[in-house]
Amino acid sequence: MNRRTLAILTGLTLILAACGGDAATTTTAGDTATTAAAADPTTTTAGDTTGATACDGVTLTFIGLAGEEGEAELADWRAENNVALEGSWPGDWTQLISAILVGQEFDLATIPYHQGQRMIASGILQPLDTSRLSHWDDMVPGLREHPSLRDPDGNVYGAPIAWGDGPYVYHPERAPNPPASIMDLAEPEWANRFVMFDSPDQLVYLVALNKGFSEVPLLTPEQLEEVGEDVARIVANAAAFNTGYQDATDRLVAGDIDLALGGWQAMLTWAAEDGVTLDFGYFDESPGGWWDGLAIPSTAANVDCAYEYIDLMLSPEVNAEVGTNLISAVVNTNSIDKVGPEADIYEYDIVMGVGERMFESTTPPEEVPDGYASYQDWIDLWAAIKS
Amino acid sequence: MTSTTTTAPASTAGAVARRRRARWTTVSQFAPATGYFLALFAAPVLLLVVYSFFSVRNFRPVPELTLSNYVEALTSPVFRSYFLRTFRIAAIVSGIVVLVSFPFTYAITFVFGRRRQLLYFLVLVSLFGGYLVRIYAWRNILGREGVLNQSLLWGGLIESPIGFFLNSQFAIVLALVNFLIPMGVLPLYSSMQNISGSLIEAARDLGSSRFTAAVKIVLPLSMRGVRAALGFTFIAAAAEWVTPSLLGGTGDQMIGNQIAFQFGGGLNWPLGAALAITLVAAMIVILSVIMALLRRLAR
Repeated sequence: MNRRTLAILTGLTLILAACGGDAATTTTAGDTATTAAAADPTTTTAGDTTGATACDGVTLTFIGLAGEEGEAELADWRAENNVALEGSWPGDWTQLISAILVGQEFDLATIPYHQGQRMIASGILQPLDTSRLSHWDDMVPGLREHPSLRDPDGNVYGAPIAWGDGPYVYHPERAPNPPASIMDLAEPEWANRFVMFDSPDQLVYLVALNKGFSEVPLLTPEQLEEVGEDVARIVANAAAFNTGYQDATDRLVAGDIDLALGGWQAMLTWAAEDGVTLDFGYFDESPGGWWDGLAIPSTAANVDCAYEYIDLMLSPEVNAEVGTNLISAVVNTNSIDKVGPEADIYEYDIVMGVGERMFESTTPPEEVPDGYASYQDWIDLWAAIKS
Repeated sequence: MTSTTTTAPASTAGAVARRRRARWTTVSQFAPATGYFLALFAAPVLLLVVYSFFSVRNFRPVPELTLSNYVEALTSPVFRSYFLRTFRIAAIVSGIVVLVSFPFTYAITFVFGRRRQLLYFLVLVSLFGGYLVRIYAWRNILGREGVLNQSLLWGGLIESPIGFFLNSQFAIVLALVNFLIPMGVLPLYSSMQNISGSLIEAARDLGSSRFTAAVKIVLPLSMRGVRAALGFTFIAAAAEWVTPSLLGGTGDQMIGNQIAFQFGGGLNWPLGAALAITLVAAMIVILSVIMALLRRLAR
């Protein structure tokens, strides 16, 4: 191999490595498995059939949770109407907020119940004209009227598409005795056997409930300090932080851990694809509760198409399919009897009324009354525990 | 005379035009690189500096100038702990990389003769492997049911899987050394190219061992490469946040994770920016001291 050949090969290597390096750097922004897709957005190729739709020929951009963008459920509709869908999946909710804050263009975004007020306050969403959503009135009232969807003037900013409880997910063979209380995870028998999200939200909330503090998520600084001591024990016992649901599933499937705190029933489906059986359970402190919706970011370029797409996602058949695929509960009352057996595990009474406690935020509001710890205090506590 | 007076201004004008052309040629040659540098490096860094003096209202950075972000970055015991862990890991990683890269580069430069270019190329080929792919490969190797633990179990060397292989600083250091070996080899290889093999032959003829020749002749002469390798790998390791996220445990996060958290979960861009600027400044100071020490050692 002469010098010239070596020089050419070296140059080619460096160029290729540089190209690969860029991709790797981008993909590492958050959830390993999901952000790999973010760097190389899944593009659903449009078909050539056209229809009377505001979406004809549009490339709809989505940022949020994988599986909640209608990737599979509306594939045929997109093909028939010459619509493409590009998805980006951030590692955490605040990455989503940051992406829109810096002006990245998205037509649709996931709005989760616990970040709703934060997203609305940060000005990254457009108010929704619910009269443009033909299925709005068919939605379960508990979600349709939920205050975390609204600003102080009552404007609506998101349309829930799925909801559920907040289980942990575990490997039943390796962990035949799953924890009953959140504090079980502080015991030596659970050392290095579980992962959790790098966020204080759920953990501080559950430990505070365990301690019997009645105003949770409002905590005095003294209460927060007391909670922090137990939270620190649980964090020290954890094997690692997972970067997303898929990452937690990967670790469970690989056998590196036995339990993922902050789970989602959809993880059971993903693990089953790899031939691994997982199960889910609840802590005595709270079964948790969540809903995710679709919102239109302030940076949206295809607003009309976004409305049409959200309405389709709320339609009885599509919403039932979304619920079935995500093993989640549905939001359209006409979808309830259409969900598959695997997702037919939810009690709908809880969302038929307005103001149920299940969907209360696990974190303090933006403005806390005097004498209570703010969310920034929670963040500071979390940073100190990890240091 | 007449002809002289008429041609002189013409030739002067020609020279001016040539100089002007040459200047424009130089400017146009540098323009793309300068533009690229200004747009993609200088401007973002400047933006970061500006943000670091902002305050936060409603999750948005607002231009109410304050030094409080720097005060927090420099005085908080929490962030000090992250900085210290970061620099400790970076120092260990860069030290190991140089210790491994030096003998390897010495071997491919002075021992393997004609095959050295192939070996050098193989080092570069290792850059082909995607970053995430390699992290996941390390997970498969180091995990509880990974190749390493299963091999040790199969060999009867351990009775139960060893937990600290994965989700630990050990895993972070191992993976970073693996990633950064090419960054250690490249500058060392470049500096060793300028060392004549006859110097080593002379040392060997005079009774020196290969090791002594490497330490007493090659090392001082390639000190510039050592410094570059140390600097490159230290900077790359100290700026890491992905590897600790995916291979580290809950107590192994580096300052990069905190910066990412402030820009993400904390939604406190000004503090994140102040931490980033502080990290850069600290790295400059640390590397300056190390380089000065190495220069003094080389004398």
